[in-house]
Order: sequence, then C-alpha cells, then structure tokens
Amino acid sequence: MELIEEIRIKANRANVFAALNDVDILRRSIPGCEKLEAISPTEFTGIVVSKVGPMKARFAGNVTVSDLKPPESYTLVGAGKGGVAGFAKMRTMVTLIDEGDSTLMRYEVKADIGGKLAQLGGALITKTSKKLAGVFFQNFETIVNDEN
Amino acid sequence: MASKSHPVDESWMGSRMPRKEDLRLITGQGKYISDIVLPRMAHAVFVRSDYAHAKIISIDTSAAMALPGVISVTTGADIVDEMRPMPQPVLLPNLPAKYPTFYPLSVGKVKFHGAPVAIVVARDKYVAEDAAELVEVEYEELPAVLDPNAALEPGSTVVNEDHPDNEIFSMTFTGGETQAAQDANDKAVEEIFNSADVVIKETFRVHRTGITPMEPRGALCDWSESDGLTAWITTQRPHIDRLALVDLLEIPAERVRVIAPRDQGGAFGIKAPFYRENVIIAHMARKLGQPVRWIESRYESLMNVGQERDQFNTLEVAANKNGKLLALRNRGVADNGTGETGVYWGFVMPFLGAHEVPNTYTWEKADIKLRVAVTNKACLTPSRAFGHFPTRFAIERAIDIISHKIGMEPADVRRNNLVPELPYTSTTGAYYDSGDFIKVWDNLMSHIDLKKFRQEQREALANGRYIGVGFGTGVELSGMASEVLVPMENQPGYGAASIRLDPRGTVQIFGGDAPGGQGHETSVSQVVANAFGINPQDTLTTTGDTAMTPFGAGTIGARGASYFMSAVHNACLELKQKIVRILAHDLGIKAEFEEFDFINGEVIYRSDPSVKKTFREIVERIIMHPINMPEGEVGGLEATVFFEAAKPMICFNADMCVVEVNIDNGEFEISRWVSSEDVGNVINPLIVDGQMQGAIAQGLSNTIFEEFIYDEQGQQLTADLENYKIATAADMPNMEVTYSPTPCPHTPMGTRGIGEGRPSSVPGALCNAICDALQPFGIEITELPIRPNAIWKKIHEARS
Amino acid sequence: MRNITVTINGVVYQESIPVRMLLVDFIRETAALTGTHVSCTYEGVCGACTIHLDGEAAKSCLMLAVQADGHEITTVEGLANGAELTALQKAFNAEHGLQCGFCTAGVLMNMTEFLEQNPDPTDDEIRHGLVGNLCRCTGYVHIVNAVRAAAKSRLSEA
Repeated sequence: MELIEEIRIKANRANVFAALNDVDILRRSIPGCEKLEAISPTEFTGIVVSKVGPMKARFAGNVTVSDLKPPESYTLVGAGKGGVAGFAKMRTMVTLIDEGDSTLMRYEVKADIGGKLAQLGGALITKTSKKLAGVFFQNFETIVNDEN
Repeated sequence: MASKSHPVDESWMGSRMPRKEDLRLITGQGKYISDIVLPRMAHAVFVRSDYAHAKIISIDTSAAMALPGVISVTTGADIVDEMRPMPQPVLLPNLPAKYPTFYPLSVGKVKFHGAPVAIVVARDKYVAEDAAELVEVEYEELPAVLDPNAALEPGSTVVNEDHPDNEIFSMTFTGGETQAAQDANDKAVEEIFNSADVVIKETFRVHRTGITPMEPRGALCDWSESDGLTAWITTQRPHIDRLALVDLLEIPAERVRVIAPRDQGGAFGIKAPFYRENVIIAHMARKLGQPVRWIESRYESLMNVGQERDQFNTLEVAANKNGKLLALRNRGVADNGTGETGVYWGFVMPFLGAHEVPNTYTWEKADIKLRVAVTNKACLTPSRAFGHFPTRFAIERAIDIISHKIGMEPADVRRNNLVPELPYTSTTGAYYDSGDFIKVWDNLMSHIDLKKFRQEQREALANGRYIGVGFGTGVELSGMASEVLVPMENQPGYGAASIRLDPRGTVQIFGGDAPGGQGHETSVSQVVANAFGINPQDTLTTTGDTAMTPFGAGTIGARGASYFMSAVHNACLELKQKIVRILAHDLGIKAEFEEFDFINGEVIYRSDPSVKKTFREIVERIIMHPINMPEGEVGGLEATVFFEAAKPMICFNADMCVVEVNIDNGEFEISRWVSSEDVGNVINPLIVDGQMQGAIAQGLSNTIFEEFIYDEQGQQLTADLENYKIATAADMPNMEVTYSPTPCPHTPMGTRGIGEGRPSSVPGALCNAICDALQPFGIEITELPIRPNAIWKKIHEARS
Repeated sequence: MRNITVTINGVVYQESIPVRMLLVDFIRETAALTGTHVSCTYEGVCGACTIHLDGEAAKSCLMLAVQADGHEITTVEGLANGAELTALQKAFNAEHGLQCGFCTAGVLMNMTEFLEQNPDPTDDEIRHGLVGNLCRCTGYVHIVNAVRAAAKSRLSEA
C-alpha cells in the first residue's frame, strides 16, 4: 500500500517538529493508542487498537525514527502485529515546509500488509488509513496549539 | 424355432432414468461428512501461517491451553517423534521427481500463506476457534519465491531444502528414453521448423485456478483399542488413504478402516490427494482416545486446495501452406507451489498436461519439455481436466493462430489434421484406443452452416457488430489402465465390484471408489437391472467403505463407466452363468448360458418360454437350499470381479462456441455452445448430459472468472467467494450436448468413462470465438483469465 | 447464553444458546436438521444455507440464532408434505437438477419462494433468480429445466 498526503497544520514548524517527537503528544493524538513508550530517544514501542472494515485488532509494534533533519524532515520505520488480524510493516517519510504561522506537512507511506488484513482489499485499507491519519492530525493540531 | 415370446423389457441401458440418489438429497436426508456426529466428539481447528515464507521462531500455546474446554494444542515440534514423515511409498508416483519431506504440521518453517502450524482440539467448536486465535507464533520472515521462472534461476531463495534449485520435476516427453535419442529427435524437429512454410511461436499463460467443490474437506477420526482407527474422510480414494494412514501412523492394516461418506458435495479431483490434515486428525484421535472432527472452512479451502493450472507454455507450431500440421515444440514451466501434498505432489498434473500437448491431431514430430518449479504458494491439487487445461488452451489457440497466418479456416485445418484412424499412438506415446474423431467432428459441424455464418459475420461487421465462432477438441482419459496408473501414481487401474444376490431377489453391489455426485448408484443399478432382468429400485449400491468394498484406486480419471461398471457387468455375468447352470440342472435340460433370458424378473428358457423360474425363486434356491446341486457346484451367489481393459482407453469431444463481442467495453456474450461427444455407449443419457454441461460450465468459469491471486509478499488475496468468483446461473449460457458415439471395443458394454478431462477444450473454443470476432483488429489472446477489460485493452491498442 | 424459542418446520425448539451462534449452526447442530448446508465462510455468497424465515427466503449464515427468536423457520426437510414431494422437488428429480446435492437444499428453498412470486418465469428470469445459489456440478442447465418444468406443473394444477 502506498499513501502520499499533504496536510496543513495551524502551528509553526518548530513546534510541529518538536511535537512530532514528543511521546506524550503522540500518544494522545494517535486514535486508539493504549500505550506509547520511548525505549530510546529514537525508538518507540506501543499498542494501538484499530478497526479496519469488519476487523478490530490490537496492534503491538515498534517504530524507529531515523534520518532526523530538524526541523525539516525525518523517516519512520515501523512494524506491528495484530494477532489473528495480521501484521504490517511501514516506512514513512515526513517533510515539513515552513509557512510562517502554519506548517505544510507532507508524508509518504509505504506499507506491506499481511494476514487477514491483506485479504480485506487495498481500497479498504487505504481508505481506513486515510481516515485514521485525518483523526490523528486533527488531534495533533489541537494538542500542539493547546500546549503553546 | 426359438423365439422370445415375452417382449424384451425396455432396456435400462440408455434409459434417462431419474436418479436413485435424488430422494434423500432433495429432502435434506443426505449424509455428508459434517452431518456425522459421534458421542464425545471433539472439534479441531488449525492455526495457519500468515506468512508465505518464514522461520518459526517460537510458538506459545499457553493462553490457548488455558481456555476452558481446550483438550490439546499441538505443534509440529510435538509430533516429529510421534509419526513418520511423508513421503511414503504408497503415495509416491514412479516418476523421477524430488519428493519433499514434510510432516502434517509445519516444522522449522512455513512455506506458504495458510500452511498448518498448530492444531487445537476442544470440546466445543467455538472454544476451538477462540483458542486457535490465542496461539502466538513468532516468525522470522524470509524472502518469498513467487515467480516460477525466477524460482528456477540460479541464486533464487530456496523453498524446500529437498529442492536446492527449486525444481521438483523435469522431463522430456518426446524422442525416446535416452539423451541421444531425444537429441536426435529435437534436431529433426528443428529441421522441420527450418523448412516449414509457416511457423508460429507464442507463450500461453494460464493462471492459477481450479474446480473447488461446494463441499470443502473434512475428516472425522475415531480410535478405540479394540477396533483401531475408523476414519471418515472426504476422499475419492478411501482404499489408498487407508494405506497411507497405515504406513504413516504405523497401525496394522487390518485395524484401519476408511469410509468416504455416502454423500460428498463434489470432488473434481480436489478430494483425490492424500492430505496432511488427515494424518494429524487421525493421530490426535488416537492420542486423545476420543473422536476428533475437522470440517474445513471455505476460507481454509481456498487458501490450501483447489489451486491448479498455473502454467506457461511456450509453444511453436510448424505447418505447410496447405494447413498440414508438421511439428510442434513446447517448453512448459509450471508453478507447483510447495509440492507438499501426497499422491500428486503438484507436478503430476503438469506432467500429464505435457503428455497431452499433441491433443487429437497428427504430427510428424514433436519436442516437448517441462520444468516444474517449487514456490511459496499452496501446492497444486488436481482439478478436473488436470494439467492439460493449460496445454489444451495453448494447442487450440495455436491452431487458430497458424490458420490465420496461413489464411485458412481454422475448422478446416482441424478436420484435416484430426487423427484419421484409431488406434493411434501420439508423439508422446499416449495411446488412443478407439473412436472416430472425424465422425464426431462432422457431427459438430452439422450443427452450424459455417459458410452462412461467415456471411452473417460479414454483414454484422458492416453494421458495426462483431460476432465470431470458435472450436476446440479434446481427447480425454477414459479410466486409467494399470499400465498408465502404476507408473504415474504407483496404484492399480483395475475396476472392481462385489455383487451379492439376496434370497429375496434383490441385489447389493459394493465398489471401492467413492463418488461425489456422478450418480454411480443409479448407473450401476441400471447395469445390474439390465443384467438380471429386475428393477433398478431392487438394487443397493455401497461405495467407499474399505471394510465392505473391494480395492479400488479411486474415483479418478473417469473410471466409472470404464472400469467400475465394467467390473459390475462382469460380476453379474459370472453370477448369471452360475444361475443358469443350476437352473438348467434343476429343470433337467441340457442348455447353454446363451439359451436363457433374464427378463421381467424371470429366467426363461428361450426355446420353450413356459420353462422358467422367477429370478427370486432361483436365487433363493441357490443361496438358502443348496441341496441336489449339480456336480461340483456349491451354493451361494456372490462374486467379486476385477476388470482390466486390454488397452488404455479414451473418449473424445469437440466444442463450438459462438460469441458476440462489444468493442466499446470488451464484454462478450456466448450466444451458442454446442458440443459433440464420443463417450461410447451411454448407460444413462440424463446423467451424461449433466456431466458434460457441468464440465463446460466449470471450464468457462475457470477461463473467465476464477483466479487465485498472490500479492508480491505471497499473501493469498482470494480466500473467499467474494473475491474468488465462481460462475452463477446468470453468467452461464445454455449448452447443447450432442452425441456421436463409437462403442468402446475394450469394455463389455462398449461404455467409456467420461467427464474428467472435459473442461479442457473450453478455454480454446471460447478464446478462438472471441479472436474470430475480433479478427478485423488482428487480436490473438494468449493469456487467461479472459476478461472484458483485457479484451478492451487489446482492441484499444490495435486501434491506435 | 440466551434463551430462545424458534419454530422449525412446525416444531418448537426452546434452547439456551450462545449469542454468537449463527442461525445455520442452530439449525444444523442444535436442531440437528442437517439438510441445510454451509459452503462458504459465511460470506453469504454460496446460498447453500438458504431457508425460509417467516415464509421469506433468507441466508441463515448471515443471521444470529437469537435473531430468529419468536420466528418461524422452514428448512428443506419441511418442504414436502409427509411423503408427498412438492412439484419443484419432483421436477428436480425428473429433470436431473442435482448431482452432488450440496447446493440443492438452498436452491429448492430459493426457487420455492421464487415460483410463488413469479409463477410463469422466463429462462432468463430463472437464471437471474438463481444468482444467490452457486452450483458446481450441473452447469445450471438442468436446474433451469427443473424450475421451468415445476412452474408448468404448478400452473396446470392451479
């Protein structure tokens, strides 16, 4: 699955970049996130509960941050297992463009899905991913502005 | 002089008699595997791999075991010391292949998405499902091998350690046994190609598809110390399965009984292999001391079985400018999947497919080679038309392509090249015993005025409509003689039947091959009724129980009317001869067998019809009151007879398809489908019609709709009937089935076994019709499935 | 667990069953009426599980048993009147409209309702009426013949 999206966040770039690497803010932003811990400055582990079509699953996984170029860009590499629902691996490249009071964020996701999730069909997975991303960024924007 | 004073009963041979099986099936009284329930029966659910290729690092069964109602959770590691692995000799063909070693559960690594990893047994089927979800398996992913051509390249990831080059089998099918002979043959073929007027070369691709039946698999195993193992299995070959269980689980043969349920919801080859699930279910029943039942879900079924075809055939054909076919050269590559299924190992299907490339045509020479690649997909399982579905598509399309190149009518090219006289041995050594291909073809052509159609076609084109006609032929197995089946599957080909007459004048018949809907009970009853002059309703046929039936290799390769029913006929004959000997003695007359008629429930001396006895009387006398017997004769009326035909036998069909193609969207509609069949003498035409129609529909559904798809990670994406589309009634045309038989000289009733290979001529006929309609664009279809969007693309490309 | 009361073929079943139990499993296992079959993993595509719910054809794999509480179900075992088969059942036998029989119960239940609503159908209408029933064996030709024959027979009796 591939997803390329752009979204405008009403906050300045420095705050956005910092917030994107803040465990607490991330935990509160990710829909269905039960747990998110930093086990090193660049590695997170967590549990997210999510519904994809008819399947509800608890995903346990790890995410590693790399190629950090603050405040412009970084890469996320992650893998998660959803029990009987299947598993997923992803690589996401995040780029932030300064627009003064707001930030244009561009993210490119490449994901491999396996198990029962894969059989649901790419269209459903893409649609769900976009929806979850939308919720994430709404939460994220609110929290970043509240904090600052 | 001698006369028949009683009118001969309307013969049951050729009667369109409604089936005996129907009453129970239309009132919901059928007994399929999932209808059988035993006291204390436990339910088994498999945990299956999510990955196409991965090492198993660890399996944590603790959460599953803790669920109340769970009896056991077993992994591959648990069973390696408890049973023998495959392969076992009874399940090995006598073919030079590399057979992978494997256990019923994956050990060390998983090799396809859906491979069995663990088995949960619980008292309740819902608990078993819940527990299966709690089993935690840790995998280390390995690269997946998914392209058969790439798999055979040096340096590819290895799927099975037993196949370091990912090749399970390869063979040259022409030229002879030695390398020198084969090389000489290849050279001769090359020479023909160099000097031929016309040559074509195409790679024909047939996708992964098959004939999954409406009833998936199942196994119910019951073990007791006193009776041993009783296993109900959805199988076409209970006697072979029994031997496999004996060898793999090391149980004395007399303590294993395999029963194919009386009713099975279709098989079509999918229930012919010996599956690993059977072994572990039987093992668990023995270990736990209680019956264990596994009923496969449709999801499981589509992940694991019913996948076949999946071949590339690069085919070259050389002809002269008069349309005489000279030579062919074929290089086949088949995608075998893992190869871990007993009896067929996946490769036996493409093996037979390569054998049958020449089809029904004469060739001066042929050069046919096959390589079968192991990949991280489910192992191929036999499907009606077996591995020659792809090769038939190739050859039938090639004939049209070369006809177009020469500028001749494809129908004429076919007729001019059909084997003109039988018996005939093909360039691959296939023996065609009897039949008249030209007669069958002419019968087909009598159903269309081809000249008139061409005129209509031109007129339609002038009006912007695209109609076309296509043809396809197929020579198919009629049973499998021992001389074919022993090398191919290490099994005998004879048919066997036991007949038992009852003192009340009724007849019981026992056969070891297990049917899956072909109406064997009815056909057998007609044979027996005809033989003894009784009513088919007064017979009872029992099949598929190894404790009660003579040995049979299985309901495979159209063995019904060819072998099994021939054995039935001969067993009846044996008993009739005994009856006549004793009756003549009782009547005090010296008479030969031929002088008596069995009609209308009586046995009548033809020279004096008043001299007779009712069938029931004489039978009762011989069984119950065997005194005052002729010299050397003992009472009782039972016979077990084995039948082997003198030669391997065939049947033959030709198909014609008329289509109209909408060039704006690529959609096509079949306006006519006519077939012409030589299936020998027919016992029940109603049943045979149904067999032909069903086979044609399966061929169409495979060609147009059904496709098993694996993504780039080896994830199988078509594991439900939403995504794996099977044709509905609205998708299928009406079919006209016509007959042009030549009685088979090698069977006592002139019958032929029918139905197995029948779907094979369908893809060629359909695609030939579509290409004929689209000839103005010069489109040639070489790939399946054939779908409107693919046709539209070709039209679009041709127009620009 | 839930207590439900379901009438099947005129017989009342009062049972305590898990909420997750599908109606088809209730019919096959709790009521032990095995004429209704399961052929897909409850996608609702194959139609082998078709029954009548209060007289209307429905796929019993797409319902929970608890949803049938207080309702009347007819299964294939309830079609015939004792030994008297329906015109449709007789036609299936006469026209060889079944081979393995696994799809047959669903086809009969579907077509029984179909003929009540459309007593004089064209072949095309019959084929479209059958899209909810997959059959692997027959290629549908004899099934269409059987439904056509049953329609004719029912009209002549009416």
